[in-house]
Amino acid sequence: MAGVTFSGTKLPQSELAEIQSEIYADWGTFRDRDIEINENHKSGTEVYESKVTVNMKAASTGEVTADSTAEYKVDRTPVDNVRVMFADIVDYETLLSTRFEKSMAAGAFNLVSSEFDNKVLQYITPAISSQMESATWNGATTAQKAAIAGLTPGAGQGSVSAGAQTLVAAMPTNLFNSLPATILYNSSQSKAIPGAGLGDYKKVLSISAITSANIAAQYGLLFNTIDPIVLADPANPPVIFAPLAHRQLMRTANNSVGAASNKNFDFVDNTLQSKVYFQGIEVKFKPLVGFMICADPRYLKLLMDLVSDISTLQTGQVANGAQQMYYKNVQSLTTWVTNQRYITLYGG
Amino acid sequence: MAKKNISDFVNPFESGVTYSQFLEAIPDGVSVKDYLSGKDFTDAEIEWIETEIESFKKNQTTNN
Repeated sequence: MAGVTFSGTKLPQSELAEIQSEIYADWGTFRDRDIEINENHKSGTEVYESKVTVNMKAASTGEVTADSTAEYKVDRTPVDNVRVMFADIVDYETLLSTRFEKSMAAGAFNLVSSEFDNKVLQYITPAISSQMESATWNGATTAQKAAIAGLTPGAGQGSVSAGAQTLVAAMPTNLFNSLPATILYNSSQSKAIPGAGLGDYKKVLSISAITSANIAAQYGLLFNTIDPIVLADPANPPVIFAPLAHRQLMRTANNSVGAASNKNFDFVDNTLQSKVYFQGIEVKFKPLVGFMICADPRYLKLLMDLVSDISTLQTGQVANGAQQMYYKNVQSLTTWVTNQRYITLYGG
Repeated sequence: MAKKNISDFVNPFESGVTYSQFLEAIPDGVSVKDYLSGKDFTDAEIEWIETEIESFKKNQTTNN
């Protein structure tokens, strides 16, 4: 006599309720205001910088006369915002015959899956945030890439390094320029040579690929390149913005096994997210690639229309009887830099 | 273009000196490392210039 038989396709009879999501690095730069964020600029704005030069001379009891050396300079630079959007149509039909069908309301017209909304689509905003964080620190427009590639490279101050050109060429092509791309090339009227061209940044000479073995020495080079005036302002301390992976390299360097170990990086506590300082300057980790920036954060700017645009997601049903939904997020923004001569760019 | 005499040393770290000018100053058959060795440069600086020149040549090939 034959035993138990089963014909047909065997199916798994249980499932994990949880749907593990991707890791989304939220737009921490915006949330923590690590740089200066200015809003109410719809299509662009005018950025002003001033510089006053006075002249000491021998005292006189006579009348004051004009001094050709003294100068009270204001430079105006128009900066255009870039409008970007994240938008798509979601067609739930694909979800028929899956676990998500169970959460669709009865009625053939109803295809919206509340489970899919709650467990998958809710991550649209974090994904936008993650992409904006990345674009703020890494990426350049096609035009910016061409402009930087067209600069004449050299090792000395006042020239772009060939390594920087290579890094920019390898950056993602985005609709707005990241901070490193803007530092390298911009049209500020406040530069030594005003107008479109190389930025006025200070670059670190003689850099290397950073490892746990040389990270302290390389940060030392960065530190020594900073204009001392920047370090002398107690009210506005500079910040080092460094690639995300430097946190691990610093920890590894601090805790190297065997060899004589110097704790060059000062972590405030033992937690993974602890604040860290190098020579008294706070280091903040960003999705930078190859570059490090040391500056008063006020000199690094994100100009926006409305700050809350980043979390505003318009959603709704597509018109004319469509059984699809749309979402749309629109932002208007750009990066900008001021007081460029006080910005130090490792890798520049 | 004729190579410059070795006495016309070009310091690549000097502001305004381009890599084209620097390479032009190096006599035929002399490497970047040899050209900079014995001058007032650290090993790290020489290594960086070597890397830079490699990138410079690669970028020129890509852009042309």
